[in-house]
Amino acid sequence: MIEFISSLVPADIAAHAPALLVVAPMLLAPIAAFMPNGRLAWILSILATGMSLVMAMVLLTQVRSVDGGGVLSYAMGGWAPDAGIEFRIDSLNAMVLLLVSTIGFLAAIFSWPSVVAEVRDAKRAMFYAAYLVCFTGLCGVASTGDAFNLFVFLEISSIATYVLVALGATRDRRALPAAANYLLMGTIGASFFVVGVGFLYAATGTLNMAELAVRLQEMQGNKAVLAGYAFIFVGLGIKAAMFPLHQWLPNAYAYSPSFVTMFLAATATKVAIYALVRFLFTVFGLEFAFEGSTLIWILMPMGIAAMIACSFQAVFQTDVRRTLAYSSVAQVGYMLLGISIGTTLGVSAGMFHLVNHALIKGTLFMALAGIVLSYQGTTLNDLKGLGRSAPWTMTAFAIGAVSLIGVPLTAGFQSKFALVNALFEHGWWWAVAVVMFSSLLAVVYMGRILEAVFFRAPSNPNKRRKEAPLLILIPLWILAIANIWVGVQGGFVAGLAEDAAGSLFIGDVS
Amino acid sequence: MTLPPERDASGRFIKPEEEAPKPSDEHTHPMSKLFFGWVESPRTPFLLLLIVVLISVGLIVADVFIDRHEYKYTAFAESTGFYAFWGFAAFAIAVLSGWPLGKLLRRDEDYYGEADTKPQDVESDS
Amino acid sequence: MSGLLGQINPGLLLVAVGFIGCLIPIQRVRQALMVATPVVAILMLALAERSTDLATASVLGIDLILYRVDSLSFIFGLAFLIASFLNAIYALHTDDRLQDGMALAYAGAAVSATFAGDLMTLFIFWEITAVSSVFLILRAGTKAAYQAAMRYLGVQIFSGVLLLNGLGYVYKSTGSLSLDAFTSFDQPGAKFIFIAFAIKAAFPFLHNWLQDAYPKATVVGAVVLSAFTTKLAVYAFARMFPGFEVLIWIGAVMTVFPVFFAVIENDLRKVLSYSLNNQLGFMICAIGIGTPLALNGAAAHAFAHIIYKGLLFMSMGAVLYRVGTAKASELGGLYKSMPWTTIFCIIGAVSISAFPLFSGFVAKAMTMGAVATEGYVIVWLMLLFASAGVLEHSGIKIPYFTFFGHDSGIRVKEAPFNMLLAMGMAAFICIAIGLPAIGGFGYGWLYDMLPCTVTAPADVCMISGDEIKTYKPYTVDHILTQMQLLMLAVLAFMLLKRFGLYPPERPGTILDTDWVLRKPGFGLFKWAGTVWGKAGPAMTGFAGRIGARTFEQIEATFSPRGALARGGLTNSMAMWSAVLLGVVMLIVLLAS
Repeated sequence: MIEFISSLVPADIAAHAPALLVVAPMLLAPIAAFMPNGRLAWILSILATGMSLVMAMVLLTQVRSVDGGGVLSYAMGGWAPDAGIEFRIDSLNAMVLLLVSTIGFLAAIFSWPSVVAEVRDAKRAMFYAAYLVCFTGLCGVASTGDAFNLFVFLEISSIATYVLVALGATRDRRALPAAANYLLMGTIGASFFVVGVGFLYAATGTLNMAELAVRLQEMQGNKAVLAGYAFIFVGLGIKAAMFPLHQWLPNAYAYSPSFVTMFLAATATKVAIYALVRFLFTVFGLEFAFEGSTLIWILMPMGIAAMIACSFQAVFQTDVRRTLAYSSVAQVGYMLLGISIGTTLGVSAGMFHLVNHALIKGTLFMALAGIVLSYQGTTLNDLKGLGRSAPWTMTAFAIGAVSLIGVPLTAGFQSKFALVNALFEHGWWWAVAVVMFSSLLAVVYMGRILEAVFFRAPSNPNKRRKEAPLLILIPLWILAIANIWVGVQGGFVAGLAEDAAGSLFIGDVS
Repeated sequence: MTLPPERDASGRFIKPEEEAPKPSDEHTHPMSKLFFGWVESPRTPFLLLLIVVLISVGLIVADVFIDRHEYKYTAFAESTGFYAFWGFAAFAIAVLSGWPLGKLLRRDEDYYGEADTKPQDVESDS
Repeated sequence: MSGLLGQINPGLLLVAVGFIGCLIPIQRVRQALMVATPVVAILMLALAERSTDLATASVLGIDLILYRVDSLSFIFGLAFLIASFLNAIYALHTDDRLQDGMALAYAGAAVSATFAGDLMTLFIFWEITAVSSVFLILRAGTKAAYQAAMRYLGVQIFSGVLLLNGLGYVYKSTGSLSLDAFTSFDQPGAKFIFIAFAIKAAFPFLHNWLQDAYPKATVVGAVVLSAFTTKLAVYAFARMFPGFEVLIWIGAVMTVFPVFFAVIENDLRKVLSYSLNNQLGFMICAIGIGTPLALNGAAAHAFAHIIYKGLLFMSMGAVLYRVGTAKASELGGLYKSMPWTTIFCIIGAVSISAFPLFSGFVAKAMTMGAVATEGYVIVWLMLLFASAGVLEHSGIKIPYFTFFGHDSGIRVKEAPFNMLLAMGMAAFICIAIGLPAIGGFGYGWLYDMLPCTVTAPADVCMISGDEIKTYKPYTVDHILTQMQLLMLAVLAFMLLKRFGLYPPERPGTILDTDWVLRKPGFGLFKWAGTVWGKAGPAMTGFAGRIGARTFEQIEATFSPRGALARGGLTNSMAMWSAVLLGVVMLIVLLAS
């Protein structure tokens, strides 16, 4: 299907796909801001994200047309790399771009009813503008091949995100401190990152990531490079909500507008993880002795700590959105664990889980958004008995939940299985036990929710049968079915993840 | 149906023989007289005991004359009346241990806060 | 046509019809399906070819064997199908869509799991049995049942998770998911799978979900539950762990300890649950012996047990249904109003007590023989003790205190006809497979189905067929010894009763291992929740205070907008970033 859609795009447009993917939403964002009403801005945002989605498909097709995964290099404005900014797309970028644009597109479609309910009329156009800017930033991060440009896009997306989170204040005033918190942490992360890039630039004299990778090979042991590495590692760690730098996340997810939560949960941390992986394995590499140590001594313990501690925290939450938020941090732990193995198999498992987790959390938060719309409240108490009042919405939620737990025949099972496989391959048997234990905790915290939803009598007898609107149900079920589809026919996504991991290890000296 | 009778602290029925008029037999199932009419005879308990004692004695006596073969490792069981002894002792121990165990382990019916609930599918009139 | 029918796992048919049944609102149509489906399934099973992979599927690159019949799975599968047929008849008087459908789906899942040819298929149906059976408890509709159902579900799912984990190890180390028996606990995954099975088989200390949940299920639900879950686990043990010596001892303990609980328990359905435990002990013990004779004993015992335990649960269910309680302290004298139920209950009671002419006699004999042959004298004595114990709680206590004993004055109607019919059929089977071989009937029918026979040496038995002697239960020795054991025990009962030494039936809750979970465990959980709620902020606050000064310095150095970060929630987190940065730097410097 992707090939078919790509084949419809004219060749001279396809040639500029990397640029168009980012530029289209960027240009449409200010236009959306000046739309007279929210509805038009909404339609524009669907157009923009839809366009990006098509471009992402084109890129994927182009990358895959080369055996073993090709690399597209696109020089912005015709300026050759090193002087100019290069967009560089390989299998990893293509996968992340496809993920972000798919989720962005589905989120845009579903956003309308939710935004109408939660954002004041006058702010809606601006809201969509901010959304498009955020989307632009995320796509930019995932496509640029320039370290400083990556910082710029990271900040573009982050600043837009702070705005989006703060708009949740209409519904819950606590969104404001949450946004401020997020702003501070995000800024620290970005600053660390840019300081790190500065060190690298000082040492090598280039900002192009491919060029950086070549020049860094000759300067292992250079203190500036070491410092740069440390700053970049921690800076991106904050953005990716790596434990214990995750504390901005639960509040930001819990109090922002439902639609924003859904979009952020499925994309923002994922893109940060992409950037982390890109720096770990492309710019630097395992040939740097210190990198192996950081994987073993930082990434792996932090991943495991997140899997355990945040799962526990999720168990004790009363607000379902916070449960899911903590669960997100725990799931980031799975990805980090996969990456920390440092083998193709491990990184590919991490990437696989990255995509699947986006599908899972997308489903869960979208279902919750539907519930908020009809029933307000997202505490466990509010959800009681909704299995009977809104069966379609909650069934999709249940699919997401079992997928999160990792029940066979769902996406979550596939990627956890891949992860366990990679752990076995690497001989980390004990880590398998941790994965199992953490999954058990997932059974507990998701089980609590499902139990309340399907087995308890409604706390409020007036809850009449009211489903989420069709505009939510359709993208929701697309995601839910995607969960099952990946679970049964995991080949496509697993293949993407494998190619992506493979592209990182091309020309690996080891 | 009528309510079950009162009990004293140790759970014994309070003077069951003084219980108000015997329940009328109009609800008694017609087949019960045929199957179990003999149970009601006052001599039955004694007769039953007698029969069981006779059978028991008979079995032990028979054991003297029948040459049993046990498996190699359990040859000791060939001694006369081994099973009889073991069955009697085992039963007595199991039952008598009910006294101390009951004291040790029995708690109020509402101990877990979920006393006496009937499943939904029992007959509604009872 | 017959070829096709013989290639579909009959369990799948049951599962499918069960799920569809939940949607059929017309009682009679649904129930006709519920009764007819097991019959069709038995026919399908009869057509199935033995020891070949009849149906396979490939999911996620793993080859699944959905249907494989051999002599071991055949007898268990057949017993499950017969039980599901009887259960369907027993349930005819109620109009409960969910219960009807789930009972059939549950039976189907158990059958499917029995005929599974690989671990993954086994796992999938293992979990379906857990999920479908929980409805049988939930439908009781009481708060106690609801909570018990959740505990039950948790335990069952946990067993599944362990199985999945073990399966992963097995797959990883051998690259196959075959159900071949393990040879030692050192094999990867063996321990996980063992514990997964052990939970479902209700091993001592893992047993309490059974006594917790079954007595709280619906009248019909308890009957259904009694047949499948635990016997599926017994089958799984026989398949994968035959001859593991530890099972002998576990089995022996399992036969003995429920005896004591059953004596003091007042709820007769709970007594039956303990009795279930005790009976499983015999089977587990036999599997631990692992000789062909012992495996035959386990299989025969399981078959007979499914029928007579079902019968006993049916009779107690009928009493509960009519009277509204199954507590010994409130019953008595019911023979006057429920004579047929009384008769059937007595047949079940003498069957489980293993009186000659009844099914328990011909089944248990093999296990006892196998234990004695292998020289486990202490185990043998324990089993002998437990045999007398069975007579106490299932053979005497159940029928005596319900139907005879002190006349409680309760007068009710006889059980509904469909219940009587189901009980009658079960009673018929109990006798039919217990009689000495007399024209067509008799124990030969059961013995012909056993997994290890001379004529059909099976791949499940470790020793080839010619070493198996045809076992004969009806010898003078055996009848004499068994009658001695039982009659003297009956005598003991009469004497104890006569001299007032028999403990009176008193209402109360009997503590068991579930106490740990339900009292201190629950308290601990609540406490942990409170602590966690308080400790989280406190810890960050503490760390924040300690680090505040250091942090300000680092912040001033590293963060361009450090001033903004001062105050507010982010303190601790900003500090964490600084700390982590320091750690990363340190590691990087040390490692390079």
